[in-house]
Amino acid sequence: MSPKIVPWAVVAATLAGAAWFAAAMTVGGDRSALLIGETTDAHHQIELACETCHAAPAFASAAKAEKALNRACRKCHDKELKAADDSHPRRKFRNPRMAVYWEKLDARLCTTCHVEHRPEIVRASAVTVAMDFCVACHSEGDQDVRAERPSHAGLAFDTCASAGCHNYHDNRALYEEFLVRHAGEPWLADAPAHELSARQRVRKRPARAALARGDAVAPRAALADPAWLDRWADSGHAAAGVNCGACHAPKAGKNATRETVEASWIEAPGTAVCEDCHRPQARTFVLGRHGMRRHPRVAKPRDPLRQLRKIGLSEFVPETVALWLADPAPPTTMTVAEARIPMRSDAAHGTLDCGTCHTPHAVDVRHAAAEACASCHDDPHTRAYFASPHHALWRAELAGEAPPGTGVSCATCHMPKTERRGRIATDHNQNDNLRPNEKMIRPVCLDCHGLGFSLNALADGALVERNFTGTPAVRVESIGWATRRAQATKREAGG
Amino acid sequence: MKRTLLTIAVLAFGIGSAVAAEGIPFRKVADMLYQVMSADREVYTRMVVQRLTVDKKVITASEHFEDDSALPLPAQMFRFGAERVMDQTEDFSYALLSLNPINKKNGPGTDLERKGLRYVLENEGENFYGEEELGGERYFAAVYPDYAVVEACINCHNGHKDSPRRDLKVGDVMGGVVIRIPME
Amino acid sequence: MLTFAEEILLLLGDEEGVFLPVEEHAFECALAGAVLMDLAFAYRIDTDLEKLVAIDPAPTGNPMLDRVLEKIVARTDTTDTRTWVGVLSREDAAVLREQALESLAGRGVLERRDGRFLWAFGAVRYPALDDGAVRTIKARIEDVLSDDIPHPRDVALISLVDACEILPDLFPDRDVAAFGPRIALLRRMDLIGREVAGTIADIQRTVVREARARAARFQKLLLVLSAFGGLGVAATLLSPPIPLADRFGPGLFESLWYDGVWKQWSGYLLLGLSVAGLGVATIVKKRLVARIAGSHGWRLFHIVLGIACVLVLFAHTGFRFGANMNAALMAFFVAALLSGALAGAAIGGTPRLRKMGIRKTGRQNRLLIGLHAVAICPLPALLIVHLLSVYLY
Repeated sequence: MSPKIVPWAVVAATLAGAAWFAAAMTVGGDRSALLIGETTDAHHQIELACETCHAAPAFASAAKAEKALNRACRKCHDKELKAADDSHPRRKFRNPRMAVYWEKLDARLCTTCHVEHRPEIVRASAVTVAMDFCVACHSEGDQDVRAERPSHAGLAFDTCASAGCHNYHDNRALYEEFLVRHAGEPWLADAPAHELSARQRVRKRPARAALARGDAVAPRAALADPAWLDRWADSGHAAAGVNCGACHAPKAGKNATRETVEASWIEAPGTAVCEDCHRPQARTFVLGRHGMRRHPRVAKPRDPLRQLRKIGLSEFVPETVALWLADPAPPTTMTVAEARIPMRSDAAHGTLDCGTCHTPHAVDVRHAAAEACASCHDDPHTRAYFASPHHALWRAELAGEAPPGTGVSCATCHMPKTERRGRIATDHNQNDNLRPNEKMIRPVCLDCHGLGFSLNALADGALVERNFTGTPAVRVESIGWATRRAQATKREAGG
Repeated sequence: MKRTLLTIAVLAFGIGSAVAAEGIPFRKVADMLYQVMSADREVYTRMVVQRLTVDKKVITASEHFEDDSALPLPAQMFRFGAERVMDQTEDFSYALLSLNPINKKNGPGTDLERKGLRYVLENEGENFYGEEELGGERYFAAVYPDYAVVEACINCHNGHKDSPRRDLKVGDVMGGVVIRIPME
Repeated sequence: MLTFAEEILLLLGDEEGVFLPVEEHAFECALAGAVLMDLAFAYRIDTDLEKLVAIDPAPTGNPMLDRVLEKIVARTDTTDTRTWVGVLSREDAAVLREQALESLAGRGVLERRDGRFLWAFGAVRYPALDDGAVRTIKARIEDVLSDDIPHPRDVALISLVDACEILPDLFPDRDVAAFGPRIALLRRMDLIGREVAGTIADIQRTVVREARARAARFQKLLLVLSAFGGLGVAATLLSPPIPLADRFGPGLFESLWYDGVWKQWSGYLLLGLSVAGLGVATIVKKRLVARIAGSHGWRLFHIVLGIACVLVLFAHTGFRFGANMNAALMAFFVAALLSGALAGAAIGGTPRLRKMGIRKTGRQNRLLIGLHAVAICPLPALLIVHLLSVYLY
């Protein structure tokens, strides 16, 4: 190759590359090369569904793009913020009388503190500003906490959120009156048990008749393996009167015969079949990291033909070329390998749907509540669980040596039971109470433990890592300060 | 409860945008908004809080109404309405403020608020009107006196541990309602 | 009869009126030497070891020579040949060049042709009307370099041509190295045999010395600037990203690297500097200014632009390479800057390398400049994608 051709070849190659990129941006195609930096944990699962967040039209003004971006945040996260009784809701700061704070830290925008694709500035909880951000508004004037609370006079602003006392959004278990009300509680209640778990475990089963081995209605070939049949007969499904056809031939209907079941038999039914009956579980599953790829708000792949029409090129690009440019099909489930926390290498290829934890023929929620987690998760906290006091309680409950609700499995804390309109269901969003970990106090910890002990335990990172084997080495001062202030004002009012 | 809040907000929003379009003076718009707010506020205070908590003693009203399964305090009720409006529009905004707030963030935040709150405190029965610039935009602002209409108001304000003033009587001006309308 | 200056310019021009790429300082010194030699042959000046003096202030009738003669006469303090080669090459080279070209145009040897290129670049060219004159001069030089008994003027001309180091360009199909001993012999033989012989030899020596000294100064500057740029690139490559203070508040770095407005300023500034650098390189390479001399300033400016790019790149990225497509853009840009700095340093460091025994540096220099060009090729495309991705997402 003569030296003169080299630069031209490079120019041609790069122009072709640019064209390909331009097509990927405007029409369709793999856009992973366009990511400007690692996406934060969890969001990385949907990072190639760009339009989920980048919802503004192309070349929208910076202000509009920012607005659209923030609207996208709210679409997915508003409900949980509302449930958390957000201490700094956007609506509070939209009032123009708060304009003076907009300059300091614009709390009207999620993106003020949570910027994406900037791995180098991501701190705990995907915060992208320095963790002493409280200083922006609470260090002067009426909002100066050091002036307002003598106990806080010498405290540094990076300890507000790190000492187990305050969160920016969720302070449901941390606000002053709550602390005072729960002051002086013993570390462990007299009869520690998770009320909802206990109630759910002893709840009445549906009136439908339980099915036995002989009741199975399925094609002959499917019944050939006795092992499967045995497992089903022992399962909760059989106990609840769910026959083979319910999952393998849902079209056959309720009064299915072997013939109708055989006619619409599905060898490996998808998760849609599960979702049909287990709606609350399915609804919450897609809210957590395990199932968020199927969250309805995640943008669908772009239709290349529509994209071409949008930019007015549909007449110039043959349909076959357009279809070739289509977005790669997004994975519907997360694989273990994609997790960013320590996982077992032998589980790397596993995917995450209902069947991952709930083996369909032996639906055993006891397995799903602990062993299933450890079949993938391989971090110190998980490993330590099996030697922890919580696990001992769980074993005792399973063995029938302790009353229902006294055992503590992984799910007890991470997928707690919730009650909604009188129905108790397992929250399948295992992130719901995970971060900041004080979120766990009210729905979980306080069932058995006192608030003071819970605060101390959760603030002790090493103890969390040991899965609460031992006693907290950290002491959170908040309850003491709150009670002293309450007593002082009471004395003042009295005197 | 939620429905009531929504109704107030929608009603108030409806008035706000309609009259602005027909060129009614800002002052008049603010006065009308205030009429709706203050009427609903008084109704909630008298017919719900005072009646059920003080007169009939069937339920309590609490700052932590969620945890206590209690009624939201009238001031909270009013603030929720104001925040709800902020969720929906930027055409107007309002707030319940005081020179002696229990929660510091409900104290005066701008010069106009300070001036207006003092004015309605010192000039009984009069409102305060003015203009100010916030965040680069010009606003018409009106401040209306807010009275302690029933016992429930002063019971709480005189007894709260964070209250800076504990000698309130029924009929006193406790603070003011500030309504703002962007002028452009 | 043509003056030496005119003869040199004729030798340097090609058919299009574009001039050979001659070492700028050598050319300027040769031009100064040419005028002094003409004045010496016309018995107007004389030199000895300490001074150069006008022995006859009478005009020669050639405006170019007379201008210089007046200047020499007007100067009252004692000045030697070196000073005059220095003064004339620095202050008068451009005027001398224009005068010589105009004189050639007046004689009908060259034609003056005004051209404009891209509005900004005025390109006056002087294509030869007939190349007979050039051929005659070339033949004279060739004859002397072969075996003929040289005419004193030819010896003087050869000494000037040699000082410009353009023999290889004049005789591309001859082994110029073989002329070496003959030139050395000519220089040693006192063939001129005239009263001006000493003066001519003095001027010739001074021209060569002065040209070398000035070239060395330029190369030193080139080396220093390139090294400075190279250090900047090395920092970009090797330094870890500058960490941000873990303290809330508006900081300069936070604004630089995480504020969209600042990012756009630094980004477009970078683009502007890069385009300017490319433009300067094109001017030098294509000789759009159509001047023999004057490219050294552009070259230095090119390097200064490169250094500015390194600095603004820091302001834009804070040593962060980014990921994926951004990382590719960054990699190619840094590669372009690095190869540019290395090429500059290599060219500037040539004398040093020679001293260290590394002689054949031309190939490496060309390779580095080639790499510089190749690294630049993908940049426009990557930049378009970079910009699009910023405004589309």
